[in-house]
Amino acid sequence: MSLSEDGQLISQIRKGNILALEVLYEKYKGQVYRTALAITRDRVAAEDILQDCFLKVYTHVDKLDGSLPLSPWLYRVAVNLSYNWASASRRWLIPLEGVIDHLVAGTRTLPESTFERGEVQHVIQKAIASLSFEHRVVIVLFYLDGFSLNEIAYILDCPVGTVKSRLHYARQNLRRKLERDRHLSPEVVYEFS
Amino acid sequence: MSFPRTQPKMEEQPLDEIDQLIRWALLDAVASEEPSPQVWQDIKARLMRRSRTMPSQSGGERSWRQFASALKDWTLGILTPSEANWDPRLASRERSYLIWRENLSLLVMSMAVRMVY
Repeated sequence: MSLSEDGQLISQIRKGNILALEVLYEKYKGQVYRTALAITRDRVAAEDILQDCFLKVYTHVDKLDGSLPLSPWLYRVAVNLSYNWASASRRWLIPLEGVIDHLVAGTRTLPESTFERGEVQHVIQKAIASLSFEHRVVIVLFYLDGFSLNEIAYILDCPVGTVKSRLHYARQNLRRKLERDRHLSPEVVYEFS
Repeated sequence: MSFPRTQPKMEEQPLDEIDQLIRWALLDAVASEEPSPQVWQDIKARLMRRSRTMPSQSGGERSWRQFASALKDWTLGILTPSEANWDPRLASRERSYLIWRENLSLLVMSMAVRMVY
């Protein structure tokens, strides 16, 4: 079986070639960093997670299958490291009531100015941040990274049904909280899409 | 496992305002974000530090370590038969020869193991 580009780099890393690791890093740093950032909402944490991801590539390079793409494994590591960070820092306790209060207190007109768009964006992000870690990770992997349910199941090492259920409840939760206040009407969506 | 990068499979969920808002908000928040160049420098520095404090795992060294491990096992393995050879019925000169031969081989092997480790 011919090795993929990742596989060739992995075989070079096995020989201690740090330049090959740098090539892999340059290839995946953006994806991994942005995913970690979307999950943690903390730049320092996202950079630490990125760093630890690639240290793990180097440490566990003998266990990596060079015939497969590296990205699923990297995402799996990134999500696990994000989970460790969230558990250690306990920053997952943002009360959603605060987000809703903010929505209700805000203007009910459509966000036409840059400031208003920023406000709406901020409110949605806070609503996403108020989700549990499991729901938030599924939301990020599905909407930001564009993974299918099967792919997310592999990354999270859980059944597809679990992913489907988490995605369903996360969306339902966001929908209920945001639409209940009728602050974000469908027109807002088309404004930004 | 086949793992191609794909676009969100929106057919799995009905596309509505929530889907679009979530995607827009996430993309808008991180699309222009990049890690600082310092991250790679830190990774490199940590790998360098690690290589100074830990044995290298390069292919050549790994082979040496495997060889040394096998040599050590073999050395330990011959200790048992050597005791059996110390049969009191053997003539003392013959027994001395066997003991010296085994001691010498143990010494050589011990030095080889120490050199490798």
